[in-house]
Amino acid sequence: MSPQAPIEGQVLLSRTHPIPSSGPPARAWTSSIFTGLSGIAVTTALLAGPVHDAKSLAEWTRPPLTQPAISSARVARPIQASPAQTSAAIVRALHVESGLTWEQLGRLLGVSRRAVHLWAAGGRVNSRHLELLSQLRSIIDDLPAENASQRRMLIFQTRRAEPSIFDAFLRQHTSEEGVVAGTPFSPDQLLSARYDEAGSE
Amino acid sequence: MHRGGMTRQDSNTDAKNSDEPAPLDNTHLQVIDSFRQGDVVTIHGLPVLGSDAVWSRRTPHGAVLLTQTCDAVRPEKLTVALAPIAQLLGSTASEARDGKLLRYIHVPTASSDAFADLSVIATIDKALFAALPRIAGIDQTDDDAVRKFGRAVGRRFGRFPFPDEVVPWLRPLEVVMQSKHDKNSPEGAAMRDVVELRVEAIGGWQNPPYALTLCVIVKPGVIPTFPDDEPPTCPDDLTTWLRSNTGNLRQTSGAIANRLATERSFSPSSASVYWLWLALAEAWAARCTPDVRKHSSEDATKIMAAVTGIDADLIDEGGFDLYRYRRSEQLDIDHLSPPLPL
Repeated sequence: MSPQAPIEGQVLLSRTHPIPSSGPPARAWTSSIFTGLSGIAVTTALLAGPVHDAKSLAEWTRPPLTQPAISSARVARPIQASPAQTSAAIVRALHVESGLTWEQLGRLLGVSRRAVHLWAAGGRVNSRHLELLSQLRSIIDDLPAENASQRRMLIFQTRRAEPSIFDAFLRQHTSEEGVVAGTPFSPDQLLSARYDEAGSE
Repeated sequence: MHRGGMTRQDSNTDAKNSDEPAPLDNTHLQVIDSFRQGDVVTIHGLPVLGSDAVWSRRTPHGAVLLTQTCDAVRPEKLTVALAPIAQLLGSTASEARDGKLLRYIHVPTASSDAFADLSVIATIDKALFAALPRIAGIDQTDDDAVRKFGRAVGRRFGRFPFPDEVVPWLRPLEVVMQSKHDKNSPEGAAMRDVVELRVEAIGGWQNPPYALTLCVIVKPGVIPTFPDDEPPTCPDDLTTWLRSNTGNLRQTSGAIANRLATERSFSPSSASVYWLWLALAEAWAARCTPDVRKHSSEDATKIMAAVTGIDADLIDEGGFDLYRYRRSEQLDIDHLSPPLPL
């Protein structure tokens, strides 16, 4: 996001007003995510207007996650927002400024479009989703672009053999999720299973 | 099952000393094709290995075949698994028939009050099974009944063990669901539109504390659909009614369901119905707060530390993708029984 005045009605966060979260420390997770995403860069070739130089996603990202995504330089005034208002504001700002559809935001965050609608209306958001929101906000915030359209283009743009920011974010946070619970057996385990044989000798 | 229902049989040392099941002869092979899961046989008892002897669980009403049909009919598989038949009465039978008591599975063709009691399962030689008087326990022409029986067997042993500390978080929702589901109330009606409740632990179940999402999966067509990606505008009066000035939900699930029922009767595809459904899912998630007064101080501390929060996602059946299915667990609330103390 470009350093400009906040959109009317939008609640911007200061680094001195961390996103409420009672979850586990996010620093290690943040670090690992962006280690994975580092090296992905965005070029400006497709952008219509002048933008900043391209830089790595790791550079754009400012850990820790539990801190807000918007730099203090941009904060016009301190806010006293409730957790619901804060998360709702983040979600609405993400939608407006990323250029992503609600459906795409939902995909990135691993939830349905309706869940993002609910969050934008003030619905409760769990700590991990807050972390992901903050993470995503950091990435969007630092894209070298001046408007939502440019940001959207950068989010889906690929560079050489690297995945887009969208796909890299999706891959990274899903690979962090560890053991799959609902169907814990892989196709290989299922298809090669023998019901009650003792095994190969 | 307590030992009052069992009789002592031969001790281990008295039993025939064989490491192998009895082989099948031609007589057995002639009937093996007719074996079906759910078949009921007349047998005096089923063996239970005790610490110093083999006990017999008496089976005055017979025993039911649990082994899947595809294995029961294969001649190279020499054993089958049986469970005793129990006769249940009254509300216990009713709950068991409704699938609310996992220990029991209805065996309808045998008798209206006959249930497989999965608290005891014994393995017997297929040769012995073939020689027992046998009737069908399940109507084999009824595919639904056949599948229902098989899935009930699997359910008893395949449930996901939610972490002990998480169960008290889910218990209040269980109480609401059980108390309202079958009743003619607006919340009960809304619950009957729910196909499944699943719980996601984002980040997995390996490392607490858990950030949970309650996935409320409803029948297709229940949530209004709108022509584009944007959410419909929530009427101002509804917004004010649903949320406080700080944005927090201020209505209970019951109150939301009441208003939802009213709005649905006027316009089932309205924006109000959409937002009320979302709020109802959130209200159900909000129910998931443990009553720590029921626990010791030490346990309460563990319980409260185990979950950082629960949010809600409302999805229709067709929109719940495999990715999320694989990362979530069915909230099979009938057996959320915590082995406390933690």
